[in-house]
Amino acid sequence: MRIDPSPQPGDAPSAGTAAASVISMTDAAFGYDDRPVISGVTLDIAAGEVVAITGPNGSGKSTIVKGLLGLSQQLGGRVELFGVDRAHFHEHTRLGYVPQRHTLSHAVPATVREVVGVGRLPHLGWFSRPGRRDRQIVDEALELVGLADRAREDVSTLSGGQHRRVLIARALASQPEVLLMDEPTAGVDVANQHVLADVLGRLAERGTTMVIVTHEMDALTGFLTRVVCTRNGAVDFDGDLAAYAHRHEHPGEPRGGHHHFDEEPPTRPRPVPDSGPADALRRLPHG
Amino acid sequence: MGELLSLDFMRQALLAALLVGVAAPMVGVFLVQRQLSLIGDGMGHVALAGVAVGLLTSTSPVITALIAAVLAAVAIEWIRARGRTSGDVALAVMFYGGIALGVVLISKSPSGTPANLNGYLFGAILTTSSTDLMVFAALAAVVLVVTAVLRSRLFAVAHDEEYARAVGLPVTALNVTLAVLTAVTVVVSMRVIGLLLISALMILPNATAQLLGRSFAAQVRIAVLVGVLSAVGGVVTSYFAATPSGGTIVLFAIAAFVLAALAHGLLRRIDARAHAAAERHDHEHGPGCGHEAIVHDDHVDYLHDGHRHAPHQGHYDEHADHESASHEHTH
Repeated sequence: MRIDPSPQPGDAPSAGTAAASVISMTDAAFGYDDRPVISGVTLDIAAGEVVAITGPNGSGKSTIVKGLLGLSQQLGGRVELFGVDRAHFHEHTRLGYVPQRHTLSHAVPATVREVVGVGRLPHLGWFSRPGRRDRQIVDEALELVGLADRAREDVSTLSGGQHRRVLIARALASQPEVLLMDEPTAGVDVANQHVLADVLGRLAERGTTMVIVTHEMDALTGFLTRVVCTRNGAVDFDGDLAAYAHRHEHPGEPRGGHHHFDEEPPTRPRPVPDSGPADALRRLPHG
Repeated sequence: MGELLSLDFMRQALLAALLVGVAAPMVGVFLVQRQLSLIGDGMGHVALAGVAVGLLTSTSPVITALIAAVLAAVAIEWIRARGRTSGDVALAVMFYGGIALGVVLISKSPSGTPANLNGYLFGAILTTSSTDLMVFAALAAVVLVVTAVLRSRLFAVAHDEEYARAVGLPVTALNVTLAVLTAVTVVVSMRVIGLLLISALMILPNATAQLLGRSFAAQVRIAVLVGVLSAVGGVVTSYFAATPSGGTIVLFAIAAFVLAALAHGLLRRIDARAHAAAERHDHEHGPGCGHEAIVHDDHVDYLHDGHRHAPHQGHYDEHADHESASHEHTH
């Protein structure tokens, strides 16, 4: 299924952010086994934003992202993806998921290319095999994360940081409109963190909407447009980097309420909506 | 006349061995990948209860075994999906219950001789009726086609179930399908290898392939090759040496594994001698990393302080020094 990536002005009945809203949560709660881990989440994420969700362990930051993907339960509130209620949202490939590394099975060898190729599966029919266009998209995704020279290696021989880039490439191969990443830099050595940050920075430059769950903001400050903090199962800060820095310097001041991105001048040029890496892939000719 | 008959029969037996040799490792690779290697064994236990019911009620033991194994497959997947710790015990009850019920019921059936029981437990292809062989061949063909069609999706789910769910693959349906494919493979193989040994042909060829393969595609190719050679070699040997086919096949598969392990160990030694590891450094070489990239046969070396560093698994190897060693690079 091909979806026009750029919402046309005047498409949506309401003007402003609503038209470009990729993810919209209103008083949402997420959890497992009917027990909420985080609740009262109200966030609107527009196309082109690069949002870090940060907070202490167990504060529910990953649970939000998993909730958007249907991997944790939604236990209340409203969640809309591309303007569609999450319960009725079936265009899964518009969300690109980069999980933490430890979910993978290494029991059987698999090459970098084979793992990234999984990203094409949702686009393939039950009886069709990957064609030239699919291979081209996988090649471009590998190129983008700097692993083109490792395509034929067994993923189990790669370092933690390289592995994370394989998972980013897999998500890119499905041509998503937003990337949801769970701790992309956790457990990655310093040298690899730089490479990883470069890759994410390159994606941000191309206008990719990203939601990054992370402990380590330092590596990402170059391209983040917004920071959301979670604490004790609730969102307790939402603002841009400057406000986040200010809050750290003046911890005594009242906590920032909900901060709306469009009230602030963007910290970097607002990207053209259809210049994401996925869009570059999407523009490839049909093979 | 007898010679011809037995030759004809041998042809059928070899065809059955060939199909089982291909199907068992092809299904087994996903079980190994999901670390459910012994699930096939459990299904074999339950299938024995099915065989017993068939013998007792004078219906076809193949059909009743198939029903029992498929029911067990669905139950296993249901218990597993619930992910409770008590699930482990539930599986044990089901598996031992199956084999115990099978042994008791067979002893009460009119045709329940110890030889008959042994035939199902350890395989006795040379005493199998040709109707049964036809049924097995048809079922094996179905398993092969379904596995081939679903291969990339089964790979995706086994490799990273959470991601597969996130991109909207029908994960539960694929898991149940794999369990049913395993059940059918168990029943198809019960006369060739036996219910107690079938898991070996699903797992051992894949263990061999794990040592030799470096990609999923190679893993499957090697496992199927080892499976076919073991199954066909085992059947031929069992005919001439008058040994039970199941045990003979499994011994062949184990021989292949031992040979591969020896070869693997030897190759690693040679490999270690041929490779010189570069000094450890905190820098990650890659396209655009600032170090000159030099294409070297099938890979890329990076010129690092006059040395050529080639990525090798988790580290870098020192490859022959570049002529322009004076060319200083720092980072």
